[in-house]
Amino acid sequence: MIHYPSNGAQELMPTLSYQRLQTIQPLTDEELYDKIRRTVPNKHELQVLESFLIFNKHVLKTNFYQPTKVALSFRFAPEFLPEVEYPKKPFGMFMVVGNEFRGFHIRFRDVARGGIRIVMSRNRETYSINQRQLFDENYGLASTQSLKNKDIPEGGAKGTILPSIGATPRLCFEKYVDAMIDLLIPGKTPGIKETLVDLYGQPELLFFGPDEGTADMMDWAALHARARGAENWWKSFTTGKSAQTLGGVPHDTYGMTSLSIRQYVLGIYKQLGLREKDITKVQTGGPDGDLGSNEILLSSDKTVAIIDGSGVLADPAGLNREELIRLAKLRVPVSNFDKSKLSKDGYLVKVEEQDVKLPSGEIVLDGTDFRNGAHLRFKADLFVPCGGRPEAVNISNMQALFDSEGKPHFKYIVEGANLFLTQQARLFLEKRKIIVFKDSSTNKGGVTSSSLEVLAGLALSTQEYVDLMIFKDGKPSEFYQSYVKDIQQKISENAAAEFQCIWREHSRLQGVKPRTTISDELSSTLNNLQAELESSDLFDDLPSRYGVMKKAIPKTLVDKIGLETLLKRLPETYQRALFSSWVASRFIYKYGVNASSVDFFHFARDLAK
Amino acid sequence: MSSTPSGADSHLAVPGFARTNSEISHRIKNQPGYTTPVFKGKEEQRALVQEEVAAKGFIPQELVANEVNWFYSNLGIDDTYFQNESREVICDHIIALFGAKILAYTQHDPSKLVIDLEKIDEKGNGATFIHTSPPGLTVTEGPGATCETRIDSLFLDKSTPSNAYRLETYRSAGSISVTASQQLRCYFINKCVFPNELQKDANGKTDIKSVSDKSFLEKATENTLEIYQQVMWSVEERYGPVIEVFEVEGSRERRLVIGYKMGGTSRFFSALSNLYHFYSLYSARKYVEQFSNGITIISLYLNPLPGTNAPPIEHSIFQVMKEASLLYCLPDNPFFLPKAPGTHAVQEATYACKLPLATI
Repeated sequence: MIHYPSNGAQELMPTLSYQRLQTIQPLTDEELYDKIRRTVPNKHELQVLESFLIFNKHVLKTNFYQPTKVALSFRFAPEFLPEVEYPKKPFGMFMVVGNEFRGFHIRFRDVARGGIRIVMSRNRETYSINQRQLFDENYGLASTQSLKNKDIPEGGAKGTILPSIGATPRLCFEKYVDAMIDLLIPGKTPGIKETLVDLYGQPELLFFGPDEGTADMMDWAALHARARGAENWWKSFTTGKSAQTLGGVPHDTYGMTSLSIRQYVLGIYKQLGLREKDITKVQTGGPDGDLGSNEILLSSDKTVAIIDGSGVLADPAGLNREELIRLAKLRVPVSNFDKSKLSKDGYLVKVEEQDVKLPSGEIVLDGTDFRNGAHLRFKADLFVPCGGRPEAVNISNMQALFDSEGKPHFKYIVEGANLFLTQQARLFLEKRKIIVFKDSSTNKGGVTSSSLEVLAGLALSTQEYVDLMIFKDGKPSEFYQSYVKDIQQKISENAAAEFQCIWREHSRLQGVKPRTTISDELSSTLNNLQAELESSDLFDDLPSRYGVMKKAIPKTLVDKIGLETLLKRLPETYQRALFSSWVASRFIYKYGVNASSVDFFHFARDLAK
Repeated sequence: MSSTPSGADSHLAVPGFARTNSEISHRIKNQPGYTTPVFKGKEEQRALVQEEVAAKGFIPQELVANEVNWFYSNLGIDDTYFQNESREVICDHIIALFGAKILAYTQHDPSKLVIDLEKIDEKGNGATFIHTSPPGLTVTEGPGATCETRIDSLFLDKSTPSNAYRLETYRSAGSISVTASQQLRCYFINKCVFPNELQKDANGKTDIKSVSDKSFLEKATENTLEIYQQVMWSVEERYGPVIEVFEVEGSRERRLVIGYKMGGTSRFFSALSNLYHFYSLYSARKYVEQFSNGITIISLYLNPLPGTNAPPIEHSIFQVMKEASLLYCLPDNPFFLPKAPGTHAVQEATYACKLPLATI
């Protein structure tokens, strides 16, 4: 009854559903629980009815009683999640139920960003498996996301949508977003959207990003939020919007993710005094993908093999770089490589080919099989996975990365593609003296870029946004170009700083602790420090706040809008998050995981400068 | 019409103050929203059909004229049927009815007279369903039990702007025979024929006439067009469904008009029937109209079922309106199907439906 709109007083007759409920004596929670306990015939029914009770008690907002809606949405207080199963308490939880889908959204901080993923099911069986796992998967993804978001203001979040079999994913997404917006915008049109009963009592902001199956839907969501009247936040509601029409900053055009991966590769060269042109490299993910193509464009090493969806391209003498650049610019897979540019030992095996004779005389029976195992075949100094199946190197095949004498195929691995290696494999490889940098450290350029895309949306008024961010006559404004440069610089800075930190920590401990572990610890230490800072009064110290904001917000934006105006426009929760993430990451990157309180004192003293 | 049926007035309302029921509903004149079509060639057709039935030889010669006459005049079947169906089909239906009568006679129970005529066009041009149906009840067996769900899955759910089906359904005024008080329900489903060009007025709003089906335009009254036009504009503006209630002057009839984006929900039409049955209402006419700009408008003419102790329609109609919006979200809810044990209101059923999700 809590969420029932309280306009009964104005009506002569209360609604029928209200009357229906009034004929029964309402019970208090305890009485209700007692009654359930006494009347149920077995434990299962108790469990079911109990969950109803828990459900009711934890709903903070719902559109259930909204006169018109396209799906039901609920915002929960996440207190009821058992700590044994969900060790980290989410900040907020949403559930959306529609005719042809169901979905969740979980975030670990008030200000949090993450992709919305559509989980497709091939058949009834996978559907029911997905149905059972949806929440847990969502929880897992959101918590991984928060590790990745360690040095940006937004914490981790993730949304999942599970369409029923045969449902149109696009329709599900639209309903999901619309029902979600019901809970974010106070209703102002009685009879259509009433004001909801809000037990949470705070304005809530969500930030959605593209993920599996939703990449082309971000524009719609932003425009829909605008149409629904979200004047302040439609610009920042989604990231990955079209650059031309909605002022988004596409990661792949500007190589945002590759930029951070690059910093790790360059870091290794610098630390070990290597010259890039002497280095041999193997790459998975071809010139058709975001990471693969940008890696080709940014590097100048001797690439000996590229493996992608279309096949395997290899040349021990180094693949012709001009030809690779040509493919990368065209965004086409390696199967389009001009074979005349190969040396006598080079070859191209396409997945659809069979019985191919390699220059060494070896015969490849099946192209697809050959491709699937190719990442275990080649040897080089450096391995940069920029694509490929998740967990391509795992406990069952990680031994294959070493030759018969136990010598590893690669000296350095910079894991660009998400989850290319399993955690076990990473630790194993590091134990055998391979230098490994894991995915969540190396490929965070994308999240940094998205985060700054959000910032632009929050900082600019609608008019400014339209003028400055959206392309005119197909061309970006000067402001836009300069803002993109700021983003790129920030990504490089952050990645280089984290690399330094991991490297330093590793040598300080004389290699006892694997870099993978250091990277994970770094994330959690950062997250904890951030949470502490967010609730501390350091933010209330104006000089420090101004000092930090000036450095944390890209220069282009500060110059254009002015710091004063920016601080007026950005929501306070966001400012706190921005403040704490900047302070935490700079501090840890500078002083390391084991920094002392004295270090922090020194650091904090200089914030206002 | 005393006020515009769209949300226009609601935008003027003070935020935070709910409208009272009388403000939500609109008043309209007691006239059907559609002109009843008159089929001019009916008499001519009747003569031809009579010949054909006689030629088939199933019905004794001396009874043929009576049977055909009864079918044409007493059964209360709409002229649309005669206009749309071929003589062969009508012939088959008359003979089938005669068979049903014989069956009822051999069982010595006039109430067993079950009429169940259907014709689904193989080329996908539409369908006709005619069967006996008690008002205000969800039938769980017999001919009417699956009819609406089939219409939903065969025609309405599949409708797209390029291949849409409109539906008209009536409850016949008369009884099927002197001895049985049963009434007939007829469903006519036709493939829409849309004009080629969509026209917008100066304000960029769609002109309903430019997106309407040909036969809808012929039948709909000016008043109906106006109401539909307003609803259509609201649907275009909004993402969710638009639901409006109209009071009919001088009667207890209420009309419910629901507009939404085509394909925005599924199995909605049959679910609506379950909904108003729950409140002891019956519908005399129902229309589902499709428009080539991807909008569907459903309109239901609802009346209270006499002799029940259900809440008065003046109140229950607003409950129906509210719950229709829930049904739009979750139309095939296992707790609200006619076969579900006990009776659940939509709010209760929808609440129950999220249970499997809550056990996380």
